Amino acid sequence: MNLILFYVGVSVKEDISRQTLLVLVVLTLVVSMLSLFTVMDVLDQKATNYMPISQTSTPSENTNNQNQELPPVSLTGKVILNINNGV
Amino acid sequence: MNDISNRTLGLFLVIAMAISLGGTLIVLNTTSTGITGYATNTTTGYVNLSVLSAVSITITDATIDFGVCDLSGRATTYVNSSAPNTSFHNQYCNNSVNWDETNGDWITVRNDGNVNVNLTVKFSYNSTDFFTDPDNPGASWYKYWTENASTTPGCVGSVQTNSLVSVADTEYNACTNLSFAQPNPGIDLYIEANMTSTVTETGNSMTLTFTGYEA
Repeated sequence: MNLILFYVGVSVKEDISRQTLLVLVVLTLVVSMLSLFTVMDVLDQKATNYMPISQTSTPSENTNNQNQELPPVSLTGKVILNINNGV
Repeated sequence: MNDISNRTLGLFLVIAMAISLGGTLIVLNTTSTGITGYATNTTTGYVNLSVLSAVSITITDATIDFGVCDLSGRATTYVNSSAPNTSFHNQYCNNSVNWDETNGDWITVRNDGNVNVNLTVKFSYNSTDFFTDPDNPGASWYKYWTENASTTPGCVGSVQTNSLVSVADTEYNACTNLSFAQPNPGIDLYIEANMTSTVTETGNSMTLTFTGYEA
């Protein structure tokens, strides 16, 4: 709004100076870049916030081999017991 | 043709700024409700995750060693690996002084796989044949039993109470459902024996075979 008032203010007088024009150019660049960054940031946040941690997280097909019996395993131990009955 | 004035250029720049700001506002308003950067045409995702199941057991201190038991001077001698020397007459067996467990000597079996197991045990002698007792055949015997190794049950099924072994090399219950869940304490197996003074010899060494099946 200030820029418009500024322009209206100078427009009724003489042609604006090259310095004023330069200021406007710089302002235009700044505004454009800020706009661009703002849009990119918002889009990026939206994309991140909506990472598809699925709304339909139903377990997919269970393909484990429950029907295949696992082979048994064996280990050995020992009991040692001798006697002396005095005979 | 005259050059355009600075004033006109300035007007263009102001218009450019207005368009830039207006475009930004329009984009922000447009995307406020929708999802951007989201793949909308893939409603189903797939994750393949494979876990290998394994039955595995381990044994800690695989030997119960009574050593040589002195049977003289008594009609019967009862020994029990779950008790210290001062109880159950284990002092008559010379190796009991070497039992490093505080309360006796036992075999600990743990499930270190990732499925619960049905644990069985078989013995190379039956309860009476381990003892040679010509004058009183069958009078001397041994029994086994199992119990949880800690207050946190390693066996979430049934352990085995004191049992005679009727048939050698036949599987008997040790734990119907030995858990692999941490802290994974496992179960302990103990042996008790009752021997008459007429026993002439024993099998000396008896082999126990523990087998784990997927529960």
